[in-house]
Amino acid sequence: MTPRRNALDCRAALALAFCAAISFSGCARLGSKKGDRDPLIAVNRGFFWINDSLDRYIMKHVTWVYTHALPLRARKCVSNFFSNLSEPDHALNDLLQGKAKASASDVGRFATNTTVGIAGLFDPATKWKMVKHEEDLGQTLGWWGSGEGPYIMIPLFGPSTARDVPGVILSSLMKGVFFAGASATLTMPINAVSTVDERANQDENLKAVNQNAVDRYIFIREGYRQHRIFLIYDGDPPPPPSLDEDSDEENTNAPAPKPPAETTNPTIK
Amino acid sequence: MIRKYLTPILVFLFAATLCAEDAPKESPSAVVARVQAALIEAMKSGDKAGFQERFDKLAPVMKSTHAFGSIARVALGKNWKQLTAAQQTAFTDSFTTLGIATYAANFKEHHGEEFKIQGEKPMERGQVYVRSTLTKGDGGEVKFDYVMDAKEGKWMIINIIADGVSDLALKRAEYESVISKEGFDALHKSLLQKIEDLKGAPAK
Repeated sequence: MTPRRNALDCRAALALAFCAAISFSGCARLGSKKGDRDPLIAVNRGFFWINDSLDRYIMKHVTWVYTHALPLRARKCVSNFFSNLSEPDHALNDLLQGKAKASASDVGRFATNTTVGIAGLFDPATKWKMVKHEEDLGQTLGWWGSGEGPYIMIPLFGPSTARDVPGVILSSLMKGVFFAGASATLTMPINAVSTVDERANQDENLKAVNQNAVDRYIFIREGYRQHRIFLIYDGDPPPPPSLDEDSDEENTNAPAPKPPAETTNPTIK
Repeated sequence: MIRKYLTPILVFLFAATLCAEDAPKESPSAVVARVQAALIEAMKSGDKAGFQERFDKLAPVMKSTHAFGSIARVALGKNWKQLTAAQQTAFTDSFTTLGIATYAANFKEHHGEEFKIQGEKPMERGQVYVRSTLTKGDGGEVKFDYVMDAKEGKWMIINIIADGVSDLALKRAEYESVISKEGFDALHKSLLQKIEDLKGAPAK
């Protein structure tokens, strides 16, 4: 990696390298049953253990310092800044899903928050009722009817699926465009703050996982997969199938996504 | 001639009367509204009430609105039939206590949150899907949907879906994983430990 390379690209490169490694090793076929959505479970659990340990011994403490050192308003500005960098990604994926109005709204949000909101530190667009649409390439592929593929725990990143990995890469690259040409002395701290900010925003969710899960790996995997279907359906998925004690284990989740009939996008959050 | 038609009519009327007696008096949405009202009340009572007081207040409402026995059975899936009657009873009791304890531990602060029921939708097997939204104090929303089933003449909750994540499917996958790796006793022990943890859960 050259010193000029954007540190935000690291995550994309990591995801790409990881997927390539899996593809070449043919791991996806090892020990998999028909319909098994986690054929890499042994590898995934290993990476989950690594991610979990890093979080428990490093990120959790760094986040604690970050949240206690920085006032809430300042942290909100940091979150706004990184969230604003995602707007072009949202707008592009709105378009790829045929949601022109949503795309226009996200472009408007980006323009407003970048200028009036001082480089995205503030979020006047929300106050002005410009709705945010958090779309990514994984959701677009799902909207087009693509299956989720095997579940993948990406080292240093977290849960994903084969369908979502290209989106992780695209999102990182699109954010990276904003820092193209910048030196590593600038981009590395930015990347570090972005990671800590993201961890801080997930703090309550992680506490809830610890409080409720009896198998944290399975809890996160199932929660992630089901929530992604919820997002693909823009927060309005069909009811899940009825369950009884004899139901097939593979039938316990929400149905596979199909492109919604309407292309209007209601508010997600 | 009259008798030919009278008999089926009388049979129909008799059956209709029986059905009317069995028909749930409270609609699925009304049952959900009762649960949500109890949760808001628990939140408003806050930490002043303490875990045990919130638990005691919520327990009768939750037991009368959630089909914990059915949920426990479905959550264990095919493993349920492998258990002895004593194990099934012990598991159902722990599962019920854990369900109520989870509510009591999490719904303890009120910052203007409110629930709103969005509507009902029929499902397969005569079940009903109730959609609702929790609006948080900061304006954010969480969708809480409920799968309702008619049990013993009244509508009961058999699954809760929060922002697309089915509680029952999640538990079922987790329990299957723990039982296959460590056995039923380890799972039951985990549930009992969770109950103890929730009793002493710090403020969020």
